[in-house]
Amino acid sequence: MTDSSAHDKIPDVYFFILILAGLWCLAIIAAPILSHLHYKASSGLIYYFFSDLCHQMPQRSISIFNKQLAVCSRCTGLYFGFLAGLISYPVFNPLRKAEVPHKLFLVISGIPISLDIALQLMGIWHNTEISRFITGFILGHTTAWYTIPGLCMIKWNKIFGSFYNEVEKLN
Amino acid sequence: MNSKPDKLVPAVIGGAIIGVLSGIPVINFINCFCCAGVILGGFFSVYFYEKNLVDTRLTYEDGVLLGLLAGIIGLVIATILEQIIGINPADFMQQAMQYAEDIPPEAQDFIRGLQENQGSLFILDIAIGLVTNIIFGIIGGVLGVAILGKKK
Repeated sequence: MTDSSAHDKIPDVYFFILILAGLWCLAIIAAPILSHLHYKASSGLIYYFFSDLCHQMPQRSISIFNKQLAVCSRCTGLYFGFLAGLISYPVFNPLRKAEVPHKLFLVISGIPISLDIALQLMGIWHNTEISRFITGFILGHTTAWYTIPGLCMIKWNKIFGSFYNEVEKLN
Repeated sequence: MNSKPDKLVPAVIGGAIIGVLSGIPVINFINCFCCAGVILGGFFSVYFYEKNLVDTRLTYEDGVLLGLLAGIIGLVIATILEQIIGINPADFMQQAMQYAEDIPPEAQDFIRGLQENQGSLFILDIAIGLVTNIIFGIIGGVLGVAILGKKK
Protein backbone atom coordinates (compact mmCIF):
# COMPACT_ATOMS: atom_id res chain seq x y z
CA MET A 1 0.00 0.00 0.00
CA THR A 2 1.53 3.34 -1.00
CA ASP A 3 1.60 6.27 1.40
CA SER A 4 -1.06 8.13 -0.57
CA SER A 5 -3.44 5.17 -0.52
CA ALA A 6 -2.73 4.69 3.19
CA HIS A 7 -3.73 8.32 3.75
CA ASP A 8 -6.91 7.72 1.79
CA LYS A 9 -7.79 4.93 4.22
CA ILE A 10 -7.55 7.17 7.31
CA PRO A 11 -11.24 8.19 7.43
CA ASP A 12 -12.26 4.53 6.97
CA VAL A 13 -10.04 3.41 9.81
CA TYR A 14 -11.19 6.27 12.02
CA PHE A 15 -14.88 5.54 11.48
CA PHE A 16 -14.32 1.81 12.00
CA ILE A 17 -12.71 2.50 15.40
CA LEU A 18 -15.43 5.03 16.23
CA ILE A 19 -18.18 2.51 15.45
CA LEU A 20 -16.40 -0.16 17.49
CA ALA A 21 -16.12 2.17 20.48
CA GLY A 22 -19.74 3.22 20.03
CA LEU A 23 -20.91 -0.38 20.06
CA TRP A 24 -18.80 -1.05 23.18
CA CYS A 25 -20.48 1.86 25.01
CA LEU A 26 -23.87 0.85 23.66
CA ALA A 27 -23.42 -2.65 25.10
CA ILE A 28 -22.73 -1.15 28.54
CA ILE A 29 -26.07 0.65 28.45
CA ALA A 30 -27.90 -2.18 26.65
CA ALA A 31 -27.40 -4.71 29.46
CA PRO A 32 -29.90 -3.19 31.92
CA ILE A 33 -32.28 -2.17 29.12
CA LEU A 34 -32.34 -5.73 27.71
CA SER A 35 -32.90 -7.07 31.21
CA HIS A 36 -35.80 -4.64 31.69
CA LEU A 37 -37.28 -5.88 28.39
CA HIS A 38 -36.91 -9.48 29.63
CA TYR A 39 -34.13 -10.43 27.20
CA LYS A 40 -32.34 -12.16 30.06
CA ALA A 41 -29.97 -14.32 28.00
CA SER A 42 -28.62 -11.39 25.94
CA SER A 43 -28.38 -9.24 29.02
CA GLY A 44 -26.61 -12.02 30.92
CA LEU A 45 -24.10 -12.49 28.11
CA ILE A 46 -23.21 -8.79 28.15
CA TYR A 47 -22.83 -8.74 31.93
CA TYR A 48 -20.67 -11.88 31.72
CA PHE A 49 -18.50 -10.35 28.95
CA PHE A 50 -17.74 -7.31 31.08
CA SER A 51 -17.30 -9.32 34.32
CA ASP A 52 -13.60 -9.84 33.49
CA LEU A 53 -13.09 -6.12 32.99
CA CYS A 54 -14.91 -4.72 36.01
CA HIS A 55 -15.92 -5.66 39.58
CA GLN A 56 -19.57 -4.76 38.70
CA MET A 57 -20.43 -3.85 42.29
CA PRO A 58 -24.01 -2.48 42.17
CA GLN A 59 -23.36 0.08 44.92
CA ARG A 60 -20.65 1.61 42.74
CA SER A 61 -22.53 1.46 39.45
CA ILE A 62 -24.95 3.74 37.67
CA SER A 63 -28.43 2.24 37.29
CA ILE A 64 -31.13 2.37 34.64
CA PHE A 65 -34.57 0.89 35.35
CA ASN A 66 -33.18 -0.14 38.77
CA LYS A 67 -30.62 -2.34 37.00
CA GLN A 68 -26.91 -1.54 37.04
CA LEU A 69 -24.97 -0.79 33.87
CA ALA A 70 -22.64 -3.53 32.66
CA VAL A 71 -19.64 -1.83 34.31
CA CYS A 72 -19.13 0.40 37.35
CA SER A 73 -19.40 4.20 37.22
CA ARG A 74 -15.63 4.65 36.95
CA CYS A 75 -15.30 2.23 34.04
CA THR A 76 -18.39 3.80 32.43
CA GLY A 77 -16.63 7.17 32.63
CA LEU A 78 -13.44 5.68 31.14
CA TYR A 79 -15.16 4.08 28.16
CA PHE A 80 -17.52 6.98 27.44
CA GLY A 81 -14.60 9.37 27.90
CA PHE A 82 -12.64 7.36 25.33
CA LEU A 83 -15.58 7.61 22.92
CA ALA A 84 -15.84 11.35 23.53
CA GLY A 85 -12.10 11.66 22.88
CA LEU A 86 -12.47 9.82 19.59
CA ILE A 87 -15.22 12.25 18.57
CA SER A 88 -13.40 15.39 19.73
CA TYR A 89 -9.93 14.58 18.34
CA PRO A 90 -10.60 15.39 14.64
CA VAL A 91 -12.38 18.60 15.67
CA PHE A 92 -9.11 19.99 17.04
CA ASN A 93 -6.51 18.01 15.06
CA PRO A 94 -6.49 16.90 11.41
CA LEU A 95 -6.40 13.10 11.37
CA ARG A 96 -3.79 13.04 8.60
CA LYS A 97 -1.30 14.94 10.77
CA ALA A 98 -1.63 12.35 13.56
CA GLU A 99 -0.31 14.63 16.26
CA VAL A 100 0.02 13.20 19.75
CA PRO A 101 -0.18 15.64 22.68
CA HIS A 102 2.77 16.07 25.01
CA LYS A 103 3.20 13.11 27.40
CA LEU A 104 2.66 15.46 30.33
CA PHE A 105 -1.06 15.71 29.56
CA LEU A 106 -1.49 11.94 29.95
CA VAL A 107 0.22 12.10 33.33
CA ILE A 108 -1.92 15.09 34.39
CA SER A 109 -5.12 13.33 33.28
CA GLY A 110 -4.24 10.44 35.57
CA ILE A 111 -3.96 12.65 38.66
CA PRO A 112 -7.71 13.14 39.37
CA ILE A 113 -8.48 9.41 39.19
CA SER A 114 -5.42 8.55 41.27
CA LEU A 115 -6.41 11.09 43.93
CA ASP A 116 -10.02 9.89 43.87
CA ILE A 117 -8.90 6.33 44.56
CA ALA A 118 -6.02 7.12 46.93
CA LEU A 119 -7.94 9.55 49.14
CA GLN A 120 -10.82 7.02 49.38
CA LEU A 121 -8.42 4.29 50.46
CA MET A 122 -6.87 6.59 53.05
CA GLY A 123 -10.31 7.46 54.41
CA ILE A 124 -9.86 11.16 53.73
CA TRP A 125 -12.48 11.39 51.00
CA HIS A 126 -15.54 9.34 50.07
CA ASN A 127 -15.78 9.28 46.33
CA THR A 128 -19.19 9.47 44.73
CA GLU A 129 -20.74 8.12 41.55
CA ILE A 130 -20.16 11.51 39.94
CA SER A 131 -16.52 11.80 41.01
CA ARG A 132 -15.76 8.27 39.81
CA PHE A 133 -17.48 8.91 36.46
CA ILE A 134 -15.83 12.31 35.88
CA THR A 135 -12.30 11.20 36.83
CA GLY A 136 -12.68 8.13 34.63
CA PHE A 137 -14.05 10.29 31.81
CA ILE A 138 -11.04 12.62 31.93
CA LEU A 139 -8.53 9.77 31.69
CA GLY A 140 -10.52 7.96 29.00
CA HIS A 141 -10.85 11.11 26.91
CA THR A 142 -7.12 11.84 27.13
CA THR A 143 -6.16 8.24 26.34
CA ALA A 144 -8.13 8.45 23.10
CA TRP A 145 -6.03 11.43 21.97
CA TYR A 146 -2.88 9.31 22.41
CA THR A 147 -4.17 6.21 20.65
CA ILE A 148 -6.32 7.44 17.74
CA PRO A 149 -3.50 9.22 15.84
CA GLY A 150 -1.39 6.08 15.78
CA LEU A 151 -4.27 3.75 14.97
CA CYS A 152 -5.28 5.88 11.98
CA MET A 153 -1.74 6.22 10.56
CA ILE A 154 -0.98 2.50 10.63
CA LYS A 155 -0.67 0.60 7.36
CA TRP A 156 -2.91 -2.25 8.46
CA ASN A 157 -2.07 -4.58 5.57
CA LYS A 158 1.57 -4.39 6.70
CA ILE A 159 0.46 -5.46 10.19
CA PHE A 160 -1.29 -8.58 8.96
CA GLY A 161 1.70 -9.52 6.82
CA SER A 162 4.10 -9.04 9.73
CA PHE A 163 1.76 -10.93 12.10
CA TYR A 164 1.75 -13.87 9.73
CA ASN A 165 5.57 -13.80 9.59
CA GLU A 166 5.90 -13.71 13.38
CA VAL A 167 3.48 -16.63 13.78
CA GLU A 168 5.46 -18.57 11.15
CA LYS A 169 8.59 -18.18 13.33
CA LEU A 170 6.81 -20.05 16.13
CA ASN A 171 6.34 -23.14 13.90
CA MET B 1 20.28 -0.83 5.43
CA ASN B 2 18.74 -0.66 8.92
CA SER B 3 16.99 -3.84 9.98
CA LYS B 4 14.58 -3.94 12.85
CA PRO B 5 15.16 -6.32 15.77
CA ASP B 6 13.04 -9.40 16.30
CA LYS B 7 9.64 -8.66 17.83
CA LEU B 8 8.96 -12.11 19.20
CA VAL B 9 11.07 -11.88 22.37
CA PRO B 10 9.65 -8.53 23.56
CA ALA B 11 6.14 -9.81 22.72
CA VAL B 12 6.76 -12.95 24.79
CA ILE B 13 7.97 -10.82 27.71
CA GLY B 14 4.87 -8.63 27.42
CA GLY B 15 2.74 -11.75 27.11
CA ALA B 16 4.33 -13.22 30.22
CA ILE B 17 3.46 -10.06 32.14
CA ILE B 18 -0.14 -10.31 30.90
CA GLY B 19 -0.26 -14.02 31.65
CA VAL B 20 0.94 -13.63 35.24
CA LEU B 21 -1.29 -10.63 35.92
CA SER B 22 -4.30 -12.41 34.41
CA GLY B 23 -3.79 -16.02 35.42
CA ILE B 24 -2.97 -15.82 39.11
CA PRO B 25 -5.91 -15.36 41.50
CA VAL B 26 -6.10 -12.11 43.48
CA ILE B 27 -3.40 -10.55 41.28
CA ASN B 28 -5.79 -10.78 38.32
CA PHE B 29 -8.08 -8.22 40.00
CA ILE B 30 -5.86 -5.63 38.34
CA ASN B 31 -7.78 -6.40 35.15
CA CYS B 32 -10.92 -5.09 36.84
CA PHE B 33 -9.45 -1.65 36.12
CA CYS B 34 -10.26 -1.80 32.39
CA CYS B 35 -7.79 -4.62 31.71
CA ALA B 36 -4.92 -2.61 33.16
CA GLY B 37 -2.81 -5.78 33.30
CA VAL B 38 -3.22 -6.38 29.57
CA ILE B 39 -2.50 -2.73 28.74
CA LEU B 40 0.65 -2.92 30.89
CA GLY B 41 1.80 -6.04 29.04
CA GLY B 42 1.32 -4.33 25.67
CA PHE B 43 3.16 -1.26 26.94
CA PHE B 44 6.12 -3.26 28.26
CA SER B 45 6.45 -5.28 25.06
CA VAL B 46 7.03 -1.94 23.29
CA TYR B 47 9.40 -0.85 26.09
CA PHE B 48 11.63 -3.91 25.70
CA TYR B 49 11.49 -3.69 21.90
CA GLU B 50 12.50 -0.03 21.99
CA LYS B 51 15.56 -0.95 24.07
CA ASN B 52 16.86 -3.06 21.15
CA LEU B 53 16.38 -0.40 18.50
CA VAL B 54 19.68 0.99 17.25
CA ASP B 55 19.36 3.25 14.21
CA THR B 56 15.65 2.81 13.51
CA ARG B 57 12.58 4.52 14.91
CA LEU B 58 9.65 3.05 16.78
CA THR B 59 6.53 3.08 14.63
CA TYR B 60 2.86 2.61 15.44
CA GLU B 61 2.89 -0.57 13.33
CA ASP B 62 5.47 -1.92 15.79
CA GLY B 63 3.23 -0.97 18.71
CA VAL B 64 0.13 -2.61 17.27
CA LEU B 65 1.94 -5.80 16.30
CA LEU B 66 3.71 -6.06 19.66
CA GLY B 67 0.48 -5.40 21.56
CA LEU B 68 -1.42 -7.91 19.43
CA LEU B 69 1.22 -10.64 19.89
CA ALA B 70 1.60 -9.91 23.61
CA GLY B 71 -2.17 -10.09 24.11
CA ILE B 72 -2.46 -13.48 22.40
CA ILE B 73 0.62 -14.93 24.10
CA GLY B 74 -0.65 -13.57 27.41
CA LEU B 75 -3.97 -15.36 26.96
CA VAL B 76 -2.18 -18.65 26.30
CA ILE B 77 0.07 -18.23 29.36
CA ALA B 78 -2.86 -17.22 31.58
CA THR B 79 -4.86 -20.26 30.46
CA ILE B 80 -1.91 -22.58 31.13
CA LEU B 81 -1.35 -20.99 34.56
CA GLU B 82 -5.01 -21.44 35.47
CA GLN B 83 -4.79 -25.11 34.53
CA ILE B 84 -1.61 -25.57 36.56
CA ILE B 85 -3.05 -23.76 39.59
CA GLY B 86 -6.17 -25.87 39.13
CA ILE B 87 -8.73 -23.19 38.54
CA ASN B 88 -11.86 -24.72 37.13
CA PRO B 89 -13.91 -21.89 35.61
CA ALA B 90 -17.20 -23.56 36.60
CA ASP B 91 -16.13 -24.13 40.23
CA PHE B 92 -14.68 -20.63 40.41
CA MET B 93 -17.92 -19.09 39.20
CA GLN B 94 -19.91 -21.23 41.66
CA GLN B 95 -17.79 -19.96 44.55
CA ALA B 96 -17.93 -16.41 43.23
CA MET B 97 -21.71 -16.51 43.14
CA GLN B 98 -21.86 -17.84 46.69
CA TYR B 99 -19.83 -14.96 48.06
CA ALA B 100 -20.52 -12.14 45.65
CA GLU B 101 -24.15 -11.18 45.66
CA ASP B 102 -23.02 -8.25 43.54
CA ILE B 103 -23.05 -10.23 40.32
CA PRO B 104 -26.13 -9.11 38.35
CA PRO B 105 -28.86 -11.79 38.50
CA GLU B 106 -28.95 -11.95 34.71
CA ALA B 107 -25.28 -12.88 34.69
CA GLN B 108 -25.88 -15.43 37.46
CA ASP B 109 -28.60 -17.13 35.40
CA PHE B 110 -26.36 -17.06 32.34
CA ILE B 111 -23.48 -18.62 34.28
CA ARG B 112 -25.72 -21.31 35.80
CA GLY B 113 -26.84 -22.22 32.32
CA LEU B 114 -23.26 -22.56 31.13
CA GLN B 115 -22.05 -24.51 34.16
CA GLU B 116 -23.98 -27.53 32.92
CA ASN B 117 -21.64 -27.57 29.93
CA GLN B 118 -18.13 -26.80 31.08
CA GLY B 119 -16.79 -27.09 27.56
CA SER B 120 -19.00 -24.22 26.44
CA LEU B 121 -17.91 -22.11 29.39
CA PHE B 122 -14.25 -22.75 28.57
CA ILE B 123 -14.69 -21.87 24.91
CA LEU B 124 -16.66 -18.74 25.78
CA ASP B 125 -13.97 -17.66 28.26
CA ILE B 126 -11.29 -18.14 25.60
CA ALA B 127 -13.31 -16.19 23.03
CA ILE B 128 -13.93 -13.29 25.43
CA GLY B 129 -10.28 -13.37 26.52
CA LEU B 130 -9.12 -13.26 22.91
CA VAL B 131 -11.27 -10.21 22.11
CA THR B 132 -10.34 -8.27 25.24
CA ASN B 133 -6.63 -9.20 25.17
CA ILE B 134 -6.28 -8.18 21.52
CA ILE B 135 -8.10 -4.86 21.98
CA PHE B 136 -6.37 -3.82 25.20
CA GLY B 137 -3.01 -5.28 24.13
CA ILE B 138 -3.11 -3.10 21.01
CA ILE B 139 -4.11 -0.06 23.11
CA GLY B 140 -1.16 -0.76 25.41
CA GLY B 141 1.18 -1.09 22.44
CA VAL B 142 -0.02 2.14 20.81
CA LEU B 143 0.22 4.00 24.13
CA GLY B 144 3.74 2.62 24.47
CA VAL B 145 4.76 4.08 21.12
CA ALA B 146 3.04 7.41 21.88
CA ILE B 147 4.91 7.69 25.20
CA LEU B 148 8.27 6.03 24.39
CA GLY B 149 8.61 6.96 20.71
CA LYS B 150 10.81 9.87 19.80
CA LYS B 151 9.24 12.84 18.06
CA LYS B 152 10.51 13.86 14.59
